[in-house]
Amino acid sequence: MPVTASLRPAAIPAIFRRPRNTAVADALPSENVTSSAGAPARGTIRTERTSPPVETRVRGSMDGMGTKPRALQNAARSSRSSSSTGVVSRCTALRNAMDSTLSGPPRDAHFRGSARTLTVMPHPNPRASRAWRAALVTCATATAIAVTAVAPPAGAAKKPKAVVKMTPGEVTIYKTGNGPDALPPDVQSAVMTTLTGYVNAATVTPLRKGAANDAALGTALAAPVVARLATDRSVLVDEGLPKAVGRISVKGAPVALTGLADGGGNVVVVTADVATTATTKTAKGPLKITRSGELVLEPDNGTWKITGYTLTVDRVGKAIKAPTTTTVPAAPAAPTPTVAR
Amino acid sequence: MKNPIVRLLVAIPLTGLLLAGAVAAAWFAVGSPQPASATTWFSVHRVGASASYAENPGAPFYVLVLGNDSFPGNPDRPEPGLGDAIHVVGVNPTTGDASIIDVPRDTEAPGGGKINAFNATGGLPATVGQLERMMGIDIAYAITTGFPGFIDMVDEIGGIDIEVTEPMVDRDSGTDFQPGTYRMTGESLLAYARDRKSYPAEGDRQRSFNQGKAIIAALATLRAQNPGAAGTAKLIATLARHTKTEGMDLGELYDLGRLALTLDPARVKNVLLPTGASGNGTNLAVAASAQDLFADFRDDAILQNH
Repeated sequence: MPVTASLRPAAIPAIFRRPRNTAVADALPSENVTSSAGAPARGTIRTERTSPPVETRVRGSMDGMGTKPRALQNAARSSRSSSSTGVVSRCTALRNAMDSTLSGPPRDAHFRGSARTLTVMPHPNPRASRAWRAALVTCATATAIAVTAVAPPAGAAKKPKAVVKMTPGEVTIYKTGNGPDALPPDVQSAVMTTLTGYVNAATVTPLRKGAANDAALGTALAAPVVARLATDRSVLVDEGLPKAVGRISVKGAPVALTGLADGGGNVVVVTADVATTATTKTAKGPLKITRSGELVLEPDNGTWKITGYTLTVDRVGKAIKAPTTTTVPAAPAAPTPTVAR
Repeated sequence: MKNPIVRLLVAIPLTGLLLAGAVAAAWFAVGSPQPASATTWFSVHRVGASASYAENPGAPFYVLVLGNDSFPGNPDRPEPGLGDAIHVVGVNPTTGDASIIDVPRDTEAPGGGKINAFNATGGLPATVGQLERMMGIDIAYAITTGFPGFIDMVDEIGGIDIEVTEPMVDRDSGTDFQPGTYRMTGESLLAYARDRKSYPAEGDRQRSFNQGKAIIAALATLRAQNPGAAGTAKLIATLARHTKTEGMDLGELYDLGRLALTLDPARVKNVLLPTGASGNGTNLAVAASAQDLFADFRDDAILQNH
């Protein structure tokens, strides 16, 4: 306590808030720094971190002796550290600018370092509050920059977020030769990639933009199926619906995969039993799309594409006038009556 | 060996030997799964130069379905055998329709002689060539089966439901059916498909027509099981173990199977080739009216007007 009392009028001895793990031995004489007006007389990088709080505080506390413009002193450090301490130096510069603004002199003069023409009073506030303000301004500036950089251009529509979750379920393989005994991981992965791509192209994109991108569909659908879009588009693609304004979520039961392998062990066909539910909000109300059935996938130039489908789609919700159910192709005929022989 | 260290030294290699023996025994007992000993039920061949279904899925195409009289192991019935059941199936994938033209075995071929003889001398390509000349079409696939393969195949799929419209009793073929609907085994369906003596007037012509009915019945039976895409994979895997393919792969076979199962049997037309008795000897000459039939057939593989 005696020590504390002896350091007044500073509210709290600055030395007590000194950052740890920093050197304090190089606290600079204020005279040398302030006179340099931007050119560091001497010192090291570490002084940038430590000396302003320590030394300036001490000098500030000596009110009557505050003849050296502290702002210039700090400016000199700022200039020096900017090439060597990165963020720290920039923070210091901002802090100094704040100090200057708060204490009255024009900012330009402050940074020009016209030391002798300025009358800069020692800052009346504690250094701690300055540091907080500086940090606050720095963070706000950084946030503003980040938001500006990330934000879409003016006028661009905000895209609703989409979550498509499709996972493989039970896997079965039928083989005509000696293997494989399971669906190879690379095949399974490629098939799931295609299925996810299809859902994105057939459901998510139309809900966002009002129409599907046929080029994107083409990465998931084989050419014959793309050709079938002319007749089965209402089943394959969720178009003609109000645009989503909320998050688009597509979830479903794990996809049961069935593979067919030839005598050489090559998987030539994979069928996928899909049952997905897409939900979202539109300007007209909630929308729910349920798509179920089987998709047939076959290798196509290094990827797997959908070559066949048996799908049923239900679209319900206030967003559409009347619920619709579309099925392709028609269900097989009922079995004929038989008489056992 | 009271010394525990000595016991341990003996026990470790002994345990290893036992484990190795157990593993070896398990390997020999179980081993890796082997395909079933495969008798060939039928052969599927990619023939002709026309686009395959895989290459042009929407285009109409033609398939020759040929039953031969070969019987493996019987020197009197060598392969490939006579083509005694001859059917040309036109499929239009876009419309989902199909048509069958049944060609009696005694029909006179464009190259002379009975059409059934070409399989015995030149195999499927020879028969295909004659039929293409006769009908003015390009046949893309040819499927052939013999007696044992036919029986096994029908039994494997659990029999085929077929309607008998009039009494069929023939000791030679083995038929003994009264009108009604039957789920026929391989043996009984073969008898049904071979019987010509129950039809004194039409004979082989009616038999040929009945074979076309059997094809549609097989399609209906399989389709009624509604196997779906995954079920079709299982079905094709089973069939493929007993199928000899030529010029096509399993994926194409699967696609054809899937296509067949999407065809509504009610939309498959079965038409007997019109023939007359003016052929050479016992040959059946193709009737003049057949040209109109062929024209109807070759434009889109479907018989709209017959």
